[in-house]
Amino acid sequence: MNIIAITACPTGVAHTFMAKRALEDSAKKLGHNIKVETQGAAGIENEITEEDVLNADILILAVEVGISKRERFNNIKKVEIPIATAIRQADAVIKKIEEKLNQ
Amino acid sequence: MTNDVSVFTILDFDNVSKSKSDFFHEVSFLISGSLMDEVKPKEIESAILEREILGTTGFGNGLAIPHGKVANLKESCLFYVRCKHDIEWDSLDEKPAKYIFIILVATNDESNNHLKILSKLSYNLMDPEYQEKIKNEKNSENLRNVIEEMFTD
Repeated sequence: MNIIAITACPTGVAHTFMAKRALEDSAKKLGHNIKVETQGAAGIENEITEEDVLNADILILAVEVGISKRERFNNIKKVEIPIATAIRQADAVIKKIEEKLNQ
Repeated sequence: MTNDVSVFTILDFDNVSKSKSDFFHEVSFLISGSLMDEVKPKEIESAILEREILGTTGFGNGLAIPHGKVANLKESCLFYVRCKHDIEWDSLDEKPAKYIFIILVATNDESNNHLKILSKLSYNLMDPEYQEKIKNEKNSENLRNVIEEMFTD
């Protein structure tokens, strides 16, 4: 799968980046491609492009605040999860997505 | 990129706090002192508490990363405290915390230099190898080296 994800938390310096790491590690471990954009205190980093969206199978939103440029994702399947779930249970999240998309 | 030493300070290797609220209270004074009173203890404590109310910063394996936004601070910075006792932290894995990183984000700093360094730290804190290194390191100079590696890795 090609996964795109956005992480964002209230302060934008800790959980945003921990969730990014957890999602990246799990995706790699389970054999998927992933690109994670962070919307943190320093603004948007590793921004998801139009092309990324076109090539992606799923968008994971691990966000606990409103995000910028949400209109990029009007036409893609998405799942929203709490940021704590991304940090602690990224494997389970990605496995669940695998299941759903293979149905 | 991390020549600026003010980004990271080891505050205490043997903190004796027994609860989360004691810890926040005491550490706020330590931080304020290490910042030469640039920010008042009360401001630090309420910034951290405000964030903690939104959700636990104990992310598991005995580690926690409380943080908050403060004004009147030149650049965002990081502090480390190792506790003598296990502290109940409502962590994501329901285990107590002992190894605590505190991040203060400077809301009025527009350079974002430190912020980017600190986000690397958060990113690398998820790495089990780094977690082990942090927990086992008894020497402050070596710990500093581990943290600097995490800033740039």
